[in-house]
Amino acid sequence: MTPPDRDDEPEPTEEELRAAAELARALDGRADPAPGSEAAFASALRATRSAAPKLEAAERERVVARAMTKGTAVARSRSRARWLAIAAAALVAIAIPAGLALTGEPREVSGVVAPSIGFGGPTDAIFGGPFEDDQRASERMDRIASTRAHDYFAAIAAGAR
Amino acid sequence: MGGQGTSGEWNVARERDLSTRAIGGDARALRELLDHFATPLHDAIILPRVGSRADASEILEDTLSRAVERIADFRWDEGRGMWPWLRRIAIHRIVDGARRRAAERRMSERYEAEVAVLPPRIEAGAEAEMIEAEELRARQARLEVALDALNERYRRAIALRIFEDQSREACATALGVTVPTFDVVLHRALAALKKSFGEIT
Repeated sequence: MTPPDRDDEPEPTEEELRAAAELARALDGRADPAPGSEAAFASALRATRSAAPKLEAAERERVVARAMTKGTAVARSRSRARWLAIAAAALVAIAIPAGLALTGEPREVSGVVAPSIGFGGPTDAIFGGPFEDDQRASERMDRIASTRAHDYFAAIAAGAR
Repeated sequence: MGGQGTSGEWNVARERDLSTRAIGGDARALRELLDHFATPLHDAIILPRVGSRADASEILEDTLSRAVERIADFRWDEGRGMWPWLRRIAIHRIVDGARRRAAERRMSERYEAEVAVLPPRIEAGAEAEMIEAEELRARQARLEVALDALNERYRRAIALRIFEDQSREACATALGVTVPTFDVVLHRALAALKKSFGEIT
């Protein structure tokens, strides 16, 4: 390609020469105009100046039908996601107090006040004094657990009465 | 032309009624509205900004689809009806597309300008043809101002090749240059116009 033959026109760069050739090809219909290119801009200018109808009725009907299908599907999935979020929030709102009720403070059921599970106290009454050297830890724990369980159910029985 | 998909007279009362029903979930009412506005959106807003018919069709579908998704958010404007809302969605879809392309090359503040450009005043209930004509008239007026700001040679190159659709050879002869030189001049002329008119405006 030869450079511009006017003195006041600066020499084209390689990039300009490439873009000018690409523009010429697109305007001649030998290539599709790349989005954002000068050729696409030229088409936009033509569309601005021309008053000819550009969107055919059949194409409009196709586009509207596709948009209705796509838009409705997205709206439905968004609505579904919103309801799921609300349901999840409600579930959490119920689950937290329920969890606290199950693991927390003693509560009254049918007039029976359940004793605390976590009660404890000195083991003197169980063993009658300090541990003997030959007593193993597991045996001591078994005896403590057994005694505490006995006391727990005795307390429930006393409350029911 | 616009309005081919709708039957009967289009007026404020009809547009308001359809909008109210559409917001309430009436798909037929919404479809009728989209049918009415699709052509002016395509011909006067999208195609004159993106140039490519394939891109324009895709952006139109995207615009209408977004309108379907968001119809519950639409609030009736007594003076101007649904058009400004749909127009704004279309402009944002075009700008988003341009931003995606610009991310690959360069960002341009001119995209922001497009969102800020005041649309022509179009009353609610306007026929699709009238909307299209008003929008194109406003855009053509801005284009004339931008063309006037170019030098004579560039203006002539654009007029001959783009608006009169003359061959490269005829344009080159008219300008007294070789065909390859004309190609460069036209490229520079369009780049200069793009700069003053706005990349997508």
